[in-house]
Amino acid sequence: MSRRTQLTTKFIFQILSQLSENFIFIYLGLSLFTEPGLDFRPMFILVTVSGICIARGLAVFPLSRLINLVLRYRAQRFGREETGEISFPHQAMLFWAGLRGAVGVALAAGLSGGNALTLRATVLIVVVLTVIIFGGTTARMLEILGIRTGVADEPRFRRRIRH
Amino acid sequence: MVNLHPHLPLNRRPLRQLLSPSKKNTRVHETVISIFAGMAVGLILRLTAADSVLGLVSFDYQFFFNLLLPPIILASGYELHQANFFRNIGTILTFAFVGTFISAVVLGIILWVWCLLPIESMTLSFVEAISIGATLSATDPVTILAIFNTYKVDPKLYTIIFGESILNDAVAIVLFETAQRYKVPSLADDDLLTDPKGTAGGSLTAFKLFESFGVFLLVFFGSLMIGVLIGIGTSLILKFTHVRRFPKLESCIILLIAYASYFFANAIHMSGKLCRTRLIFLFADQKSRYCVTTFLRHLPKTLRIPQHVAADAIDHKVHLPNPVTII
Repeated sequence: MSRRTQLTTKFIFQILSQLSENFIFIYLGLSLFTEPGLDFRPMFILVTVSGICIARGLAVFPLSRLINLVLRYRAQRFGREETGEISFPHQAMLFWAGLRGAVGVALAAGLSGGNALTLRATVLIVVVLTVIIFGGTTARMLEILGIRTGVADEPRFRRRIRH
Repeated sequence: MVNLHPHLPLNRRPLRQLLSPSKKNTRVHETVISIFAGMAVGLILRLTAADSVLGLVSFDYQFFFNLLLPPIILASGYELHQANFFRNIGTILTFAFVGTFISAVVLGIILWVWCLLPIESMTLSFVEAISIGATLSATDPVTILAIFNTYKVDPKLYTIIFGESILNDAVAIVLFETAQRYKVPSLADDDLLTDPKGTAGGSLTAFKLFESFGVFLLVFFGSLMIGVLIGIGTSLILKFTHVRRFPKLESCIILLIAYASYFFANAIHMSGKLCRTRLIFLFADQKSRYCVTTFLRHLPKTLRIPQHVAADAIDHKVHLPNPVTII
């Protein structure tokens, strides 16, 4: 593969993904108002949002404890110093990164039955809310938790310069 | 890195800085702004436009899966740091499979219990609750990747979250489809609440669960195989022909092959399986597409190796993580 192709492919993929990303989010906002016949129930939505947080917490924290246990055991067994455990800031970030996206909305479009419209509206609102709340505060969370940012992870291009 | 003005306390930064498009200082990410922009337009349309316009903006979600999601996954697959992904594969799989399952079930139970309480007038069957739980436990690759890419987060964390959000869609979809399958018989009952599936058919339940699990595994490994085969094929074609003298053509070929692998996997499924489980395959296809992109990513490396070292490139192609360690 020639170098020109490498760069082009990378660039094309980047442009396309940026484009679809923006489209998806604009559309999510749009459909909040234009989707016909949605039935919004504030209490139910509230419960769902808090339920999501609880569920995410119950999934992330015990599992990372489990993973840490396994990693520690393995490190002990092979006599390694570095365990590579998931630190607490990382766990918290994993929790925070649990925002819901367009996939859920697309799935919810397949719901049927008497409650379908309510549920669809709930999913839509919840997705938009989590994106706004969690997505909007991710940067702040990264600062608060003191997680490294600005890490360049493109060894390929770095190496090439060195050659 | 994020705070370019360390002398300014974070919460007292001027508003202009908040809204500035500079990547380093973005406090509100563009995805949020996109949503707000969409909401504004939607509100305007809602208040002014006629039904015909509202009909125009409605959108088939098939487009979402066929047209919008592939480039995002492909791009992130192309960008992903290979060694990190395989180093953390255990963590990623645990979070993606077990984590999603826990979160779906917990959320489903919470919602179900809430609807049993007299506060809520809505009656929600257990199946519906679980469906919603599954729907809402797919964390989103798009949003997270968008945000994390901007900030260049610690690669390990990035990889875990990326891997999880890509794989857990598949789990969520399988759960959703499984839950939806129960719904058909229980819909016949008038009062769904009195019979929350438990008494309806235990053996059927367990069987279906295992069945969908098996289908899931089949799909997972099947699409992985497809991805690997197409990837190897592509890299061989690109190696032994002289397409590389025509960069434009080469770029087109790579792009088209990536998409073609997606539709190919889709088509195979369509002939073989039920229409309703189509979504599952779409997501498993992500994996195949992802695999193709990882191969494509390695192409330049594997192909440049003969220039540096006179080694057999094909050997390195077969073992995925190898090229990383070589270069």
